[in-house]
Amino acid sequence: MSNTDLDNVVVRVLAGDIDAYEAIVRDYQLEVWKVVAAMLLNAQLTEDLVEQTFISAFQHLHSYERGRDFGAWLKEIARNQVRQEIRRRTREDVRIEHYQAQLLQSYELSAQSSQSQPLQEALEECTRKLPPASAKLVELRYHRALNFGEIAALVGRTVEATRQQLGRIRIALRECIEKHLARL
Amino acid sequence: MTRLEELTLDLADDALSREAALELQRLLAHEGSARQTHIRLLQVEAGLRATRQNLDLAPSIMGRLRARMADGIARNVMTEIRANPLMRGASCPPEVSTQSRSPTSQKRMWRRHTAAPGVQRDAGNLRARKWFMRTVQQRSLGILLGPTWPWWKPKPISIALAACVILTVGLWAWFFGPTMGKPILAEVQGTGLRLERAGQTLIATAGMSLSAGDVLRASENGTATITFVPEKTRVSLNAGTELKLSSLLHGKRFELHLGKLEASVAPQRPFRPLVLNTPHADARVVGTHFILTVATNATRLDVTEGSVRFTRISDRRAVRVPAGSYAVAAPNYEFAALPKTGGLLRECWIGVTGKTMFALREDPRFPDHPDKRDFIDNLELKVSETNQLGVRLRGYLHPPVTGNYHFWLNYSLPDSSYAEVTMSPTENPAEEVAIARDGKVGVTQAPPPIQLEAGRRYYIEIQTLINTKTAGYISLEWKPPGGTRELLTGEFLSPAKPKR
Repeated sequence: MSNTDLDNVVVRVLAGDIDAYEAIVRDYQLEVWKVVAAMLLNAQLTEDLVEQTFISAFQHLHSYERGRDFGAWLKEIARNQVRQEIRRRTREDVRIEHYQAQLLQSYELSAQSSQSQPLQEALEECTRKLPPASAKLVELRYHRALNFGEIAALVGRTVEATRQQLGRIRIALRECIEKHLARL
Repeated sequence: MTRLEELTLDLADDALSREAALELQRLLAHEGSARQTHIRLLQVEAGLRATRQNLDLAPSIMGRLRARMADGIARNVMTEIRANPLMRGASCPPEVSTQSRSPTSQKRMWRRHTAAPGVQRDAGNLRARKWFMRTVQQRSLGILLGPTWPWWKPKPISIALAACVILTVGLWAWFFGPTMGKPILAEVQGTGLRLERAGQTLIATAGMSLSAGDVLRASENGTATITFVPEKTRVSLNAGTELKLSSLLHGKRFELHLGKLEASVAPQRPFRPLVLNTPHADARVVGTHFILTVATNATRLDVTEGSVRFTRISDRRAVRVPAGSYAVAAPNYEFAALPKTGGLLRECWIGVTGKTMFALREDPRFPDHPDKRDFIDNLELKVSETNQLGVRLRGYLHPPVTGNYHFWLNYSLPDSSYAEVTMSPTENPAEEVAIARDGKVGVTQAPPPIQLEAGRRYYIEIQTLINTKTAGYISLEWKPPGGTRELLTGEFLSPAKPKR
């Protein structure tokens, strides 16, 4: 969607045409999802927060300055949603104490610095080197976002065996990334 | 895989228990490089998640937005009522005819109305509530259905006609309709149960009413139970299951797309059985208890009570599956009611002294007096911090097709632990021979194939002596003819009868 088209859609939504907002959701949902998914570890919660981001953006659409980068504006709302959620959950649940906060801190540091690009490139390179069976599992789990039960049914294995295999793949990817980054 | 990696992956999969979280905390505090490993693994997880390609949250988001708009209208109407309490006689006394009442009763009424202002207020509130609900309904429907709503204003003749139609339909439903009540989502456990209704995805919660066309999707950590009160039928969805309520008009009809459900079906009205359609078969039930499992290429029916008529879609062949039996509808699989499978008998001997496999066999309690007996679902045995534990898994293998089978023993335990798999060419344990054996960490080499025949059962046994202070596992994988190497699961195993 071009900037002019986007501005027209925003004007229509502000004039009361709710349905016009769907075009915005469809255009930006994947971008927002990537931001939230990188900061959270729960797929269900990720989806809920992406939805909440778009609802919050709808409620504050009047404060969006036309001509600005709409994607960046949305992503800032998403980050705020995640920060609030992590603060709330940290108070409630010891399991994510420290770790989720560490992950968020690490994500924000790498997003601000130039670290994220080599890491992402290394991950892409290492993923390309995976054997076909492992690549298939990665595709089912991450590209298509299926849960372990669905994947296990598709590949004809138990849920636990599927989880273990995906665990081994992720460890192999980590080791591959470390080697890749060490060469830089 | 180190313990740190295992715990980090559990965290990434949102499967970290409270105790495990504390353990992870300790590991991160004590090991210098642990934090780097931990963060890097989580970065891998985040990076992989960012590669998602299919996402359609638009229906859900737009649904939530529209619901919020309708809610906003309701709040505005409430504000109007509060601002103007006399609106449409909202605070008038009740319309009670005093014509036919005696003077005494009129006085009583008068006293009641004047002495009890709460009554006036209640009646006024009731009217206000009715008006409020009507206004909200009209305005909400106006938003949802367009500005022409309401498009039809009822006339007396229309009302009479509608009453006749309702009476006819009511009588028809009374005589011919199903006996059930409305399907309700009675129990929801875990998170991640979604309900797809009219193109919108909702988070399903306990107490929700279900209707025809609804699709329930249980994630890997969500389960649910549907009831039909006052009827005692219960349909329970396991994790990772997708079920559609296709119709409730001529009996209950469901489509099980994927996963596993367990149903306890009360006797159904004649000609109105409960029917479950899967991609491979139809299960027709009048009243029974059964489990239906759907995988990508097969549907399996296990019947506990009563019987179920099971029809394979590919050739419309039907079999009646009685209690204690199962049937599988899949390509290259014998379509018949077979004795029920579902795992192996596990027997454990604690404190077996000695360091070789013979130690278990020479133990005076072996084989008839184990310390513990239970059943396991598949040939995957997880072990954690156990010393001198002897385990025997035994039962029967039910090969799905005739041909050559390969078996591999996967083994991840220290050198002082042992495992051995034996199988008999018949169902007689006395004829068993070793088919896979290992005393080292790793996987056995590809063994020679074994010829097995569909429809027969073969005795199989695994003996293991475990001496470990670390976690590990033992599993048996197989490769059926024309199939791929995979874990040997309970669908093809039945337990041996324990000696008492």
